[in-house]
Amino acid sequence: MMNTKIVEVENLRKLFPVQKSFLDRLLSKKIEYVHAVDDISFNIKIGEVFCLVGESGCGKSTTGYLIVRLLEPTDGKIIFRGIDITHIKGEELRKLRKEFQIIFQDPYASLNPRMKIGDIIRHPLDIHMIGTREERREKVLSMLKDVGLYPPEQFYDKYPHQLSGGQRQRVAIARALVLQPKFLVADEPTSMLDVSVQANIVNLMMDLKRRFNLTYLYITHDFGIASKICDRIAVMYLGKIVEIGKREEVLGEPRHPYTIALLTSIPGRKIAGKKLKIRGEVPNAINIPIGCRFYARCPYKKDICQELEPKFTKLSETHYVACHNIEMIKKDWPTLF
Amino acid sequence: MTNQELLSIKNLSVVYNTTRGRLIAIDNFSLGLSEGEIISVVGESGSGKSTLGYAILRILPPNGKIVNGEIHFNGINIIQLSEKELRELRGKKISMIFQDPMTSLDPLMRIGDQIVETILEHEKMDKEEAWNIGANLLESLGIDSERMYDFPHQLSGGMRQRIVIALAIVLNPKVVIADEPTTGLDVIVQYQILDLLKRLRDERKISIIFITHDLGLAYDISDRIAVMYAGKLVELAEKNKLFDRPLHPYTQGLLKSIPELSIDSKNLVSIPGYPPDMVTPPRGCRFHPRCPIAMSLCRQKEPKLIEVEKNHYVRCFRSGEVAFK
Amino acid sequence: MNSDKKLSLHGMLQAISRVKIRRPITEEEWFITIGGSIIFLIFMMALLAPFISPYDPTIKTGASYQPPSWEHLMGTDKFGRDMFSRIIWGGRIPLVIGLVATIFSFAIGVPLGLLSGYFGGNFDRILSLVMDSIYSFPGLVLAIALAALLGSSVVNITVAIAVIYVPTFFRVVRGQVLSIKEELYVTAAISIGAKRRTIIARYIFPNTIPSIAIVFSLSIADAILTEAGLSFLGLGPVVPPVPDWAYDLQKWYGLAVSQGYWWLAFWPGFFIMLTVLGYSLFGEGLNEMLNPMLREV
Repeated sequence: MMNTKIVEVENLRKLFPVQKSFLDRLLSKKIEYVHAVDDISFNIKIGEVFCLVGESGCGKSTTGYLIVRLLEPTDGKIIFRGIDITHIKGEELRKLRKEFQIIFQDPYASLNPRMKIGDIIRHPLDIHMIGTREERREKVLSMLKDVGLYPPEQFYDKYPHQLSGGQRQRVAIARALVLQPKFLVADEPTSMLDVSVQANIVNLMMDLKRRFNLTYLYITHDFGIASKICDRIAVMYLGKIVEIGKREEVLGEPRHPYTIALLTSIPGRKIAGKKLKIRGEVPNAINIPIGCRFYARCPYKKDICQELEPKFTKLSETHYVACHNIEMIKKDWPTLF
Repeated sequence: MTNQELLSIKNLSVVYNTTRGRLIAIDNFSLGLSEGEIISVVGESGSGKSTLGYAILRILPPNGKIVNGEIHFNGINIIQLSEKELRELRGKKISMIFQDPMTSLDPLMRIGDQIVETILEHEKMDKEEAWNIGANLLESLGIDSERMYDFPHQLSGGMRQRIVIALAIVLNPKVVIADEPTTGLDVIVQYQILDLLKRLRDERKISIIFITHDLGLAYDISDRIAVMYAGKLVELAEKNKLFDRPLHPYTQGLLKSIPELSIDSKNLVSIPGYPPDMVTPPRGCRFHPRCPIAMSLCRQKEPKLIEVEKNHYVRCFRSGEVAFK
Repeated sequence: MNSDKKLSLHGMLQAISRVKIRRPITEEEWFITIGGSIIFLIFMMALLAPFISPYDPTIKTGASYQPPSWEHLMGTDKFGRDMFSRIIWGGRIPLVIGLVATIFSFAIGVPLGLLSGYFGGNFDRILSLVMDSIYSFPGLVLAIALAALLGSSVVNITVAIAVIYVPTFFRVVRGQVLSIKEELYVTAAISIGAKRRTIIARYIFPNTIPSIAIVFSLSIADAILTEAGLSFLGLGPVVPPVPDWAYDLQKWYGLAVSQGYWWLAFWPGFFIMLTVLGYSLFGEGLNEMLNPMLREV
């Protein structure tokens, strides 16, 4: 039976030591850590769009970087197409990079300002020595067409600063796809673009996914976009996944107070009148309290929440929530649509 | 545009002198703000919306210039005021909330000191009195007055923005210009800030010009929405009117491209093309290169702003011809 | 969107030709143009010396201590040698030493800075310590010490001066590398599988070029001054009767003051100053152009 999962993440953890001032280091020996990603597990099926949603500081970008091994996990496992890539390094990692790629959030910073567009897109082919010089050039021109940059010959010789944000992001997409990877991590690819351009880019990415049979891990804070493109969604808070499930389940019948707060806080007209208001802001991820991380801000908290971290409760084959008070929430918010 | 307007902008035009030439930022823009009203100015990059705020407060960068128009506040044309008179105005009668709280707060001063400094710039009183005013203000905004002793870097993004709002309203201005005040803030904090601004309007009758690129935000906070494109006002209406019956193709496009939360997935609708280069804007209607219903007239002549129905203004030769679906 | 300010002769010529069009020339374009012109003219003067020098600068061609006249535009010195010719020929040594020394500094300082900044660790710490030590010495003092150690030939002086400027290149490049290393496009390069040497060569180094160019120009200015300083102190590489600005300045300075023979010291000093000014203006202009303060919309 062929493995239907392209990525499997098991108990993934990433801690960053906190930079302390010289004086602090003299006075206290204890090193503190930012718990950016704290024991998360999920998998991504071949051909799906898996959305990782959350606010800043929740660890979603860090998760993306870990999966493409731009960071090394502190703990846990990452399995890509059945291979354990958690600790691979050097040449082995370099060669494997043909299989998965990442599109970054900032199109103004992710392209080398001193390289021409054509060179930027061709460079992965040069690095991995694929094809002849002529073939590489042809491939780049074809990619430029695929991402909608006409006429490709003209764009080939331009520099990034001559392009708009949306165009630059298209170049980034072309660069990511030129090696024909099967898996792509998109780290908030449209959050720095104008609204009218965002839709263009998202549509382009979906189009390319269908054409090239890709699988996406789409990271975003925007539930609106997520709702349009995802098959499954995972909501993260302070390094943990609080809810995960199919699109209809998480959007239609969310069962975690944080998910509901996020969904109902989206500005605009369409959301069901009721809003779940929560106070305060996301705390820093350094001194994590025991018990549920959302306890301090949660309007549905019970005593147990402060002492015991909730484990996943299975609501369906695909829908899981980490909360002690699901029944109450279900009563107040049976459905959002 | 009625008579008892608090702030009245008429035919405002602003240009920037850049190394590539003369860049048109705002072109013949008119808008009226009444007391206690919140108007959102919505647009994307190059629309001129941020320049509007700077122009009203006369804090354009050195290469920016108001080349036409009048801005009347309480009957006086601000454009003709001297620098000294403007300093009286700024902060006290009209104030601004900038986009990035990290740059609008002095990183080397305690929050309390910054508030006191702002107060003492305009009012005569002793430091202690000013400090108390500041502390009370923070409490009323839901901020622990202990924060007066903190430095900006010790506070979170949302907290900082709340302090910036406090600084903007401490002298009880009549008008507050908020320039994308929630950019970079998380959705939940964003929502809290909007709530705060609405409360300020209700309690203190402050009028707000809310500048944003997010139509959804505009809907949540404002009474009326003004849509800008390429330096021009293209549509102005009460918010529900705008959402129910958008008449300008750009507004329609913007509305459609907001990814609305829904279970059924449809393709995101987008507006093709890019905002124009404002050094050499397109001839005729500036939106015509991206407009789905552009005709030959649109490529040659610029449409005027017309009141198509009561209090609903549109700048389009074909406004309302295409039903919005 | 389209605000490319490319560093090129083409760009400069464009800047000059744009005078006709309404846009005013920016300050840095003035600096680059004027500085560049000065450098160019002085180089030409030194290069074409055999053709434009009216007299042989090493032999007596007139009466001694003559003030400027039509025959001797800048007067004559103690030995009746024409000052004008000495000025024309006298630029060769300072210019060559300045340029060659700086090229040496560049060739050593830049690669070390790149490697040190990129790899960090103990290699970086030790190297930085060494470089900082050299850097903390006042340039002239170090030059004197090295000149005394190595002897005063042209080659040795060039080497001595080169050593002084290695830390400058090193520090600037290393600093740049430290910040460029964190740029997103470098992370992107890693994500597509680039090898470390590719990253350093194609992603990091090209982005340090603007800073290097600025340092280069300013270092030449400084090197010329240092060479002049050495010569002035009598430690220079010049063996008379070879003309050299700083040598002449040093030799005749006393007489110029006491006897009023101002032309003997003025012209050499002026030309040293002019050359240094040229390089400094060019370097500063380059700096302004490549690291522009936010001026535009």
